[in-house]
Amino acid sequence: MDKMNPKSYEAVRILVRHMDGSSTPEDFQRLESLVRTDPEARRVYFEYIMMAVCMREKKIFTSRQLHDESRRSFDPDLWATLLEEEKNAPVVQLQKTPPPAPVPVPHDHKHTARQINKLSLAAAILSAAALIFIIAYTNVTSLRTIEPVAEVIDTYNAVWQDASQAPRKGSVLYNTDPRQKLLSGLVKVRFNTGAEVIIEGPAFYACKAPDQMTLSRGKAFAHIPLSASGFMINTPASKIIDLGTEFGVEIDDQGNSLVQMYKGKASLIWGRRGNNLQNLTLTENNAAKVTAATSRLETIAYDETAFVRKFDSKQNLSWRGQSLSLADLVGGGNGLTGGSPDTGIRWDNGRFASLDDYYPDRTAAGPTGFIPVRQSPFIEGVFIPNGSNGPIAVADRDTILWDAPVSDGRVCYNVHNSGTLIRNGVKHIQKFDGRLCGTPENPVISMHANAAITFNLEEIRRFYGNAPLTAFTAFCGYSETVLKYAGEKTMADFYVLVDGQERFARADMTPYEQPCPIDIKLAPTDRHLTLITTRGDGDHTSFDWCLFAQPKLHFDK
Amino acid sequence: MEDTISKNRFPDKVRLMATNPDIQENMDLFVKLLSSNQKWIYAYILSMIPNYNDADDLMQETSSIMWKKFNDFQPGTDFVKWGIKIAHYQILNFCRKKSKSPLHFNSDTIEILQDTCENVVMEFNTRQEALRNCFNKLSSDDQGLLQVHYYQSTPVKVIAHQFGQTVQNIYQKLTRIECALLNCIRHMLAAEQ
Repeated sequence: MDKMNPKSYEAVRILVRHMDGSSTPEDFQRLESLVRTDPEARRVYFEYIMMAVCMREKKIFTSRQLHDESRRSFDPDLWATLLEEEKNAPVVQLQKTPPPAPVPVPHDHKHTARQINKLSLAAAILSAAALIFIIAYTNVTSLRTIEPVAEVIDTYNAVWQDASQAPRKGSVLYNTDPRQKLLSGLVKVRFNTGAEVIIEGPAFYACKAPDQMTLSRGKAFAHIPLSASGFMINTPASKIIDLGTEFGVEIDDQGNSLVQMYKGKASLIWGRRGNNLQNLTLTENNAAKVTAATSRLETIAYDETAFVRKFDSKQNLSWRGQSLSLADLVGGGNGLTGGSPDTGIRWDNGRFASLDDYYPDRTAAGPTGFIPVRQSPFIEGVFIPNGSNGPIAVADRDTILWDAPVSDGRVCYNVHNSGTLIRNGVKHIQKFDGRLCGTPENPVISMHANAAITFNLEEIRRFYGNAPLTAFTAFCGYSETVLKYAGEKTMADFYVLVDGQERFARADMTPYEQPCPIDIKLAPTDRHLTLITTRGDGDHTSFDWCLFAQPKLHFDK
Repeated sequence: MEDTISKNRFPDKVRLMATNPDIQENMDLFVKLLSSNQKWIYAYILSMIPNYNDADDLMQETSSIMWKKFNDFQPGTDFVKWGIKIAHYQILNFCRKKSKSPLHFNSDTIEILQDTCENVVMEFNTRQEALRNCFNKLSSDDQGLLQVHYYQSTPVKVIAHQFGQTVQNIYQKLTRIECALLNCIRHMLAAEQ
């Protein structure tokens, strides 16, 4: 086979780099010079482009070639041999030409991060741009200089095998550090590339490089931004390379690898040294297992809560993707923990207060306007729904108005998360659907008509790592205890708004009716969720002991 | 298997359901013509603008304009030539915007390339067949590298990581394999003549 002439070879050499996004301006200028001045190099340039288009069209790769187990591929030993051949191959003499005169032009081409355009993003979502490889081979250790590779961001209830060597929050981790043995608890590590990994004990792990760690046992949840693509987790029988996704990997006692995809779409390539590699596309919300003994891969059930995806030691928070309680938010919490029981929001200043400190138990003319709650980013504020003077604001900084029904503007106790009601100084516990209210099993938001509260979905999403909120569920109705105390007919209206739009409405509900289920789908761009009770078709709000029971926000429901 | 590149090149408007049967028939014809001919148009664009991201965007723009102007197209005439003509204007606009970029050809170079390009593009099918035959002659490992780089769209940096090799080594390997393929294709086409 005739060898290519030097100029044509040089054109191909530059093209290989340029099409991979790695050429320099000088390289490209040289390529441009070649294709302008040398007809043969120009011809080869076109032939190369045609070839690249054919290979990207993928039609030359038959499915037999992709899945042929009788042929060896990706064998690292062969790679090493071939690369040796590469080193000893005859040198192709490139004709030296004087470099072109430098042209001082500004450029904004960046090789460090891949440009994202809408089509690339679509391709990334639809094809293999969010990619994970699992390949099987053992690591080859080599001498390395000591360098910092990561930092411990937080720990939570962490118990280490060697307490004297235990890393603390803020500790810098080096590539030569010995393997860490976390007996229980959580540690969050941020690598210098930007990759963040939450490790859950019992786990054995080591941080080997700014873009690499080993996991011999335990669980790791990785959030890999695009800037950190190429981050690698080595396990006893496999290797996982990520290109900008979120995933969890667990190594069990037998050394089996379980991989779960939270975001992105992955092409898994697995196998064993000396054998062929196979591939499987693992999509978001799916999971797979590689058995160490047999190097076989099988799909397994996806478990939304298998991995800790966020934790914060200061807030005593550890989140696996479970739903959030709005009753906990009303108590000043974060939806999982921290909310105080028997706590509500004062009408006079929008601050949290326990029922012992603040409980207006007489209906009175309530404040007008939107009352912001500054103590919690998750609660926008509270207000009295009364459409007497036209549409009313249901959010603070945003001008979101709702065409509220006319009410008397009177209010009784504040919006709170307690099951307890106080009437004439006498306390009792409300009941809903046969169960006591305000317990961990039956959390409630108590809202005597007329009352409303708006939650900030944007802040909630942000707190939970921008995970998408997909639904709000609850039950609305009356406390059953009202039948004992109320000697007169009473009814109330219930509403749920999303960004000021009614998504649920239940009018003229009475204490005699069964709890009404609420199930509202949420979109990634929804910002405010508002719960409202107003008087029903009557002229009073007495005994409108309204409840939103088990109010929850769901992720990926 | 649906071609991922094809799937992304259809203008969004084409996907909208037409309520008018005539429009639906027109759309069906456009989709059919674009599906079977877009690789030539894309190859032309990529030859002028050798950057996958930019070429993908330009293909999308070209497809949109082709759909808008589809009533001007005479059935039975050369769809590829018509598409290339539309693409050429998009390319010229693009070059004007990128005139200061050192990683894009200037408009003079585009003019020079255009003269040769159209002829080479029309060889696409025969070259594809020859490529398939030449590809089968490569060793398993060489095939594997191309498969990972093109089929999986994996950057060289990641491949290098995967095998614990330097990026330069992988580039060197790719250059040798692709030169070998180009030589093989030439020989195969020459032998057929």
